[in-house]
Amino acid sequence: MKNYYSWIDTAFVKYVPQPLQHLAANEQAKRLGGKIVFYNGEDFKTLNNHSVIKSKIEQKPEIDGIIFFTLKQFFNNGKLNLLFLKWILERGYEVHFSRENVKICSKEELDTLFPLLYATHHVTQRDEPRQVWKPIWNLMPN
Amino acid sequence: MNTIHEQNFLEHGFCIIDVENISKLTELREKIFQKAKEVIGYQGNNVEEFFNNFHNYHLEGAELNEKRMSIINYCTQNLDVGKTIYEIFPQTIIDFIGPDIVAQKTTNLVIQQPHDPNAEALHRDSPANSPFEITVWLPLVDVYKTKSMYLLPLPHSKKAIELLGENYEAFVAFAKQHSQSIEIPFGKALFFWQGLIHGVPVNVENETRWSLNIRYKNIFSPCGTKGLIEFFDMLRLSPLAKIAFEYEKKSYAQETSETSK
Repeated sequence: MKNYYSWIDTAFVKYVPQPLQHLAANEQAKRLGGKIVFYNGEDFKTLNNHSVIKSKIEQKPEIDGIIFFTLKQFFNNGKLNLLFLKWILERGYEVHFSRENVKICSKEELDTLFPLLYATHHVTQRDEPRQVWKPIWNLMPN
Repeated sequence: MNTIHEQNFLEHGFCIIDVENISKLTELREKIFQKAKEVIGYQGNNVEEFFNNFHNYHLEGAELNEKRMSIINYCTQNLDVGKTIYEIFPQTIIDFIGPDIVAQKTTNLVIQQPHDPNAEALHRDSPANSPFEITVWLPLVDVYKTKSMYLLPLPHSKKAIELLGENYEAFVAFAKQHSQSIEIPFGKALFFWQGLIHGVPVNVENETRWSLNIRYKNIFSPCGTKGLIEFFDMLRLSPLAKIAFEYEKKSYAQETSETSK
């Protein structure tokens, strides 16, 4: 059975409470034939640089991958953080998104998925009024 | 899509289109039939007899839903229905959407048995879906009268939507008065705009309807509340988009490199 970390979206807890994010992560792990062995999330100050998960990965945990709540956790400073996605994959860990039901197990899969990732980021930036999430942006570092 | 279809679509918000690749459609139906046979335990080989007389198995409620979900999961995991339906109507879908297309991740399979009271109420798909999507409603058997679905042509849908916010009873009465039942033989499909009011009557014919429905949109068109990557998979890209994405992939990696320092 595969083992996964669940990395909840700290910024979104106000709108999708932690218990719901856990349900989604557990369901995603089940779909992948695995289970969650540990969960955590970023501090508000590390949302854009992923320092907490980065340090966890650098400890080389014996897991198969990380289940994030949403792809939006990789929309950092107005950009799609493709490099950090690659960084995780290069260390041998799968990346999953429970909200989107998306799995990325290799750099080749990331390449194939790039148009959809790019377009999702682009369309979200273009069409989703920033005002909607004002309470969140107000809490986030600039 | 010929000019008559285009005119019909602009005027009514829907049109009925002949398949462009009948062998693909027949093959898709056959695969669904084989899975359904296995799930139900049917021994025969007549697909239309099986689908049309499915109600004679007397499956209802949770039991019916469990078997239906088993077939849907099979379709999602094994048949790539979004791609196959595109291949059945390639030019029509490109005419509607353009060449850069995403397809709904999960195709809906509806099994509407005679006298099943759980028929879908009057509704429109947009919102919550994007008004920039097209729905392909593809019957796997001949559909007619109450074995089919009904919809309100564009001008009536517009009026009905006005009533929807004011008086729900008036909305329902107006919709029933102006709804149009759609007759479609196997080998054709209904293409309709997401803002059209539509619904399903209680099927009082003596046959069961099996139909698929799926949505397509341009990759960069606005989304509704259903997010792009949550609801859609990549289907095809134009040569220009392929080059552009390759170009962007490189520059994105560099830009994100800067931001991740």
